[in-house]
Amino acid sequence: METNINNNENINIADALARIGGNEKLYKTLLGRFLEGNHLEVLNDAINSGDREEATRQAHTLKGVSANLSLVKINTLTAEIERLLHGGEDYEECLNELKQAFDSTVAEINEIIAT
Amino acid sequence: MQIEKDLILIVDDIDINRMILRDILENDYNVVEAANGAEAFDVLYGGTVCPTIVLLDIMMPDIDGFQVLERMKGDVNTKNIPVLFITAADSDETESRGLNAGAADYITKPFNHDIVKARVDIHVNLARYQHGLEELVEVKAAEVTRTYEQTLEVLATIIEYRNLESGAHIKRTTLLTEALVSKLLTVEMFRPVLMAENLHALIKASALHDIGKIGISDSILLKPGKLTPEEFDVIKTHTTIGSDIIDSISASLPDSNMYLKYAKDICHNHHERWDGSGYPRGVSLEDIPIAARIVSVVDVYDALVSQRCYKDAYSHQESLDIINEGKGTQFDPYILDILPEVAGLFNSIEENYKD
Repeated sequence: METNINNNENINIADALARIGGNEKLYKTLLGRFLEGNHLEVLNDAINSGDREEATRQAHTLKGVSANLSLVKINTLTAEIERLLHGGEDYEECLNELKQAFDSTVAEINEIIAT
Repeated sequence: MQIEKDLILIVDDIDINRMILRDILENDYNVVEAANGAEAFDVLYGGTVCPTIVLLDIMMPDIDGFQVLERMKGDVNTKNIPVLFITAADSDETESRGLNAGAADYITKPFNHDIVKARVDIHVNLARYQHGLEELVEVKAAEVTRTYEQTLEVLATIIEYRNLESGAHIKRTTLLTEALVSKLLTVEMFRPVLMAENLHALIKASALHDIGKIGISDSILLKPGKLTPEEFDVIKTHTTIGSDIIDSISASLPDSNMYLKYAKDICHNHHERWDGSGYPRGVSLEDIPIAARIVSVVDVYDALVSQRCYKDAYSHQESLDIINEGKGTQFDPYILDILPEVAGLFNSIEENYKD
């Protein structure tokens, strides 16, 4: 299928489109929903509240959603954070990386939605 | 081509995940979504729809996927609905826990369009095939039971004809037993006892109470007037002969059968007496099976109001009075306490099914 939106560093668009039968309109809608979900903020709040179990659950949720939208960088980093939270290990560095990845991914999502 | 599309319930707290699954499935299926466990229960137990399969996310706030599955497996209306867990690709532990909890299968995130479609198709087809088989088994089992009951009813009727009584006695015994059982079901004391029994089989089996008479010679069975003590001893053996006949039928069948169990109880025990002075074994009180205690009342009532080779018919009221004289000696006194409440129905059954 011809597509006018192109793969980039943070998002594997071809992979995502294969999941939904090449439906670009739906993909844009889903990405819009993702932005509305404020997932990073929700994860941050959970971590700051000190509820490690809830934070693990939020990381797990974000891992699943990012996988389904093929947000590859966010997916890799949330999987790692989930593992660290679950194991009681230090996650600060990884969380900072995730914040950066989120910023660049959101920028790319906005570009895709605008095309 | 199917006329009606099967219904798939998708339970996931993340709308993006639900929307992707809907997109994959909605060409071939009707899709209903639930955003949490409580919404899933509304769909499953709301009484309006019944999904063919359920796709169920595990990690959800409040009621998680395992709790949803547990309730489904514990409820007779949902325990056979196949559940496919939605799980992250890297969680082997969750997958095995889900399968152990009774999930039929799982699909992993990120969703693969073709795999999700194929798995759902497989489980919908399996469920449909299973429903078809269950219906077929039900139909066939009902046919077998009906054949069975008819065969044994014919047997009982033949024996009644030999006894110079019409087949109407068989019909009346069944109807009278049904009437008495229905009334006893409304009584506190008998309800739990009867609820534990297969009442349809019990009522049908009452028709066989005298099949043992096939083994009694005509000279005794058809003798007008009073029997000698020796002759009466022979008559008594119709209880054990009946029981033996049922045993021989049972032995030729692969499975135990409730109908034959009651038939044996009734044949063997319908001349036992509450005070233990009956035959063939002389058992008493609740040691006499409930089916036999009920049929003994019914059988005596029908014998009294009917004309037999050895006696004239008594009136309905005379018969009830005679039976009442045996309260606590011949008959279960608690059953006789209830008898007046079905007396009118007994009388109309006699009127409608005369010899």
